[in-house]
Amino acid sequence: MNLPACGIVILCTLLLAAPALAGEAPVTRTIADIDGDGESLLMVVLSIDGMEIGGIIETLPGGSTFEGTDHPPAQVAVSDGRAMFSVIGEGEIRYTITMPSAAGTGISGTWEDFLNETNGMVTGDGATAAEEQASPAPPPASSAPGALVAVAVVGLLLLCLHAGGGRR
Amino acid sequence: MKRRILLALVLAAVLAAPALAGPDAAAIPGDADGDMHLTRAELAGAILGYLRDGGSAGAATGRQDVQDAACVYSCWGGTPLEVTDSAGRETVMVRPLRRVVVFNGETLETLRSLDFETERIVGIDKYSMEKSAFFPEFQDAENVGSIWSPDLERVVSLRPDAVFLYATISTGACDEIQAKLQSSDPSIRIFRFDCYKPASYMDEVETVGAITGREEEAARFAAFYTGIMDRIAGEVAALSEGDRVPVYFEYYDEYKTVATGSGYDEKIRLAGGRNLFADEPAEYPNIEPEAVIAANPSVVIKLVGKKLEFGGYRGGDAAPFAALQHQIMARPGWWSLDAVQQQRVYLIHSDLLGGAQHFIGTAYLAEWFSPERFAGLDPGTLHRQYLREFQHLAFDPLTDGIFVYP
Repeated sequence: MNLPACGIVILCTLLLAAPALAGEAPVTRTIADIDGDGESLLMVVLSIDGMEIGGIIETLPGGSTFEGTDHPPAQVAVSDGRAMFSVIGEGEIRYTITMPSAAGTGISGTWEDFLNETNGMVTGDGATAAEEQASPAPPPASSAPGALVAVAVVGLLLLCLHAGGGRR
Repeated sequence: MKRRILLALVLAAVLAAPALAGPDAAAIPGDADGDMHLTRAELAGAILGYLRDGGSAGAATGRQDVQDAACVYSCWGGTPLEVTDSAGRETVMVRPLRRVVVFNGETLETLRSLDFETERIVGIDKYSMEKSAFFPEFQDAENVGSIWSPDLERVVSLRPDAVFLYATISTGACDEIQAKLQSSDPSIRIFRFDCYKPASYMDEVETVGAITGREEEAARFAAFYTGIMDRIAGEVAALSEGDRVPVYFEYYDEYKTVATGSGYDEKIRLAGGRNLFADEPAEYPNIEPEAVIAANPSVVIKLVGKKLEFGGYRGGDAAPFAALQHQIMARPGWWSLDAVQQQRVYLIHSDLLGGAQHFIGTAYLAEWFSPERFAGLDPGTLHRQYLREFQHLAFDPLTDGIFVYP
């Protein structure tokens, strides 16, 4: 198999895998800037789909301050630049942070589904490209489909290289 | 003696190391006030505690604790699950099952019907282990021996949270296993089920479904099972005693039959037959050859498997079946029997009649006893459906194995 053909195969594999990757993350983030003066007041919305009982950790940008949330107080903890939420049936969590304009904009987050025993990265606004495609962050309780896809892609790549080498 | 010393050492090690013995088996994880009711606030607190600690080793709330708490809250409403097994023993569960040892193949098969996670079954009995074609996914599980010769050191070393044993057969051996395990580690829960008797199977499926958190799967399987058995019962209910087909059922040994009290007699009746030797005093009596000739059965059923080791999930060679049928029909004096005259001598493998698949075997009996009434029952297709949908096996009973003959 030559390299262009190999590239097409990998591209097709990624395209086929994309819905699976998107579908497996039960927590997605959207961010809206609701105050443009000097300091930014950001509204962060975590949308939760298919995770009945779980936990979310949001790591806030340096210099930012957690202002508040609509989540029940007993289900929230904030410390060391992290906002932690327990999820028991909720479909959405809203929280606000203030951030000096000089601060970075990246928010990273992880989720863990305690019933399905899966975990991974929060995707959406604020997440880096790496986080969007990342496999579970903490030690996985069980293998996730996304990780399998990643292994498959790597395997395919090795297969392509091996096939190419064989012809030489 | 050496085995006893080894067992004592293993037990001592487990009892002396609470960390190894696992979490508190008597408390609901996350139940902060210990009132045996996990509230929403307590669950939220347990989750936050876990998130704060990052699930690190030595954390106050571990990942498995939170997972178990989530299960108790979601599946059982935050309260312990009280179950009664087929031996009438009550057990209070405060956590889902994670490490299970199964000593009876019928329960193992039932667990698979309910989609219980394979990786949670850490040990199985030697006979199930030997059925590699039927239980291929358990070949890497630990072999814990049989109920007659259990490897209790191995069982204890597996640190199971539950062990499954028979309820009403081999009770002496099962009682002994239960007593030894519970005296060594009281946190091991013992569940006693048969999973092969038509009269109790559906109750057992429901209870096992509750124990394993597989209620929906249990209901789905129960619908499949009762759909078959209810159809047979509905047709048979219309039969008078005189309409029932007179049957001679022969066990593996020649002229060893079955009587009232045996599972096979129960299945003959369920299928619309009349067991000609039901009134014999023993459940598995030996009879004189002349008695069969005098009784003149309309149908003869011969059980194969185990002692007559061919067919079933081991392969699809019809030759031994044909030879045995020929041999039976050629017995001295049998040429005059209605069953022989009308070519109604059937062979059935014990896999289909003696275990959890008894409903498929009963369907075959019903079809043989009353071909017109059960013309559309198609037991072979039901068998295939059972293996594919509930056992998740690629094995096709219509092409890969022989279970009945002809």
